[in-house]
Amino acid sequence: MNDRIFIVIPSYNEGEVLRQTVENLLPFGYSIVVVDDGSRIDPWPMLRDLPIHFVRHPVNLGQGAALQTGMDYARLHNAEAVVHYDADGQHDFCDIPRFLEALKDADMVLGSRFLRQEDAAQVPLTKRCLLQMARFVNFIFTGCWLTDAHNGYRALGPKALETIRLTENRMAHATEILSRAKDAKLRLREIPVTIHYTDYSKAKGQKWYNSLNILIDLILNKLM
Amino acid sequence: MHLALIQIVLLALLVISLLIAVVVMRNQIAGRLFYMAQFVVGAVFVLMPDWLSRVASWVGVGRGTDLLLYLIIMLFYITALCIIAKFRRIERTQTEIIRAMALRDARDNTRQ
Repeated sequence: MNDRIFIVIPSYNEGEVLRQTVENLLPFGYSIVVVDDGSRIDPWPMLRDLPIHFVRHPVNLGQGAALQTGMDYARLHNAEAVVHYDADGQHDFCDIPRFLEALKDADMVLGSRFLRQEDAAQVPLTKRCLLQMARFVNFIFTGCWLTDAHNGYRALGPKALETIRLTENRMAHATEILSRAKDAKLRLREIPVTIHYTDYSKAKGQKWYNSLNILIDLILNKLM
Repeated sequence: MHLALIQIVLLALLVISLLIAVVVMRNQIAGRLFYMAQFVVGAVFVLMPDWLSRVASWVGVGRGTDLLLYLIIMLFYITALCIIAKFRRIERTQTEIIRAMALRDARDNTRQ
């Protein structure tokens, strides 16, 4: 049954950690889709012995585009649900069953770092401030007032897969997905998740100034 | 009527740009009309420079050159927005192409 649950892992220049992330997920029997977003070095040789699906953009487009490609792939393979999962080991695979459980009475389930005291404490202080602003921006642009913003850990049920098409190729997709959900009147739910901030994921993660690029993308998206 | 050297140069440039616009914009009636109108307006003001000053004072701007500056700034903004919009459309189609290629070449290792 689990093989109709697709875990979509966008990856860009990840290296060793990607294989580790995939290997952690394998025992659960989900369908795993690695979407490589035009990395300099094709990660396929490193993954080819694993029972996974692999899609690769010939050039780099951005995380939003990679997620949409993964969702398209999952839909072509009759997916029942899709989980967005980070390649860099930030997400805890033990949370996946809770996402799927929550999908039973929601169309889209979003992970939140701010529903439990101990998860929020994990988030670096500057990031916490930035996320508060991002929450507000999300509210302005989508009308969704959530406890977290731009958390990459989410799960989409059949109705969400049907209606959501991300056109923001870069990071603004995390706000766009909320607008689309709102337009399609999807039922949203948030569940607490723990994000493991490793040195690797912090170095790989977004810099604060990229939030300005996201904002510009969002404004352009609204205008045209 | 005596033409100053600058008027000849400007008129020549206007004629060349009109020719380019008309040749490049095949099947784009609106674009062609826009550039033709621009040519006529440009030619009129090159030949009758004091008309621009008259138009300027009529709309409440001090000098003809000031009016021209304001119009150029506005045109620049509109052009920039059109180019950004065009870029986004191109990016969207490019994404669709790349996605189609990626999905066509997808590897399924689960059935081995």
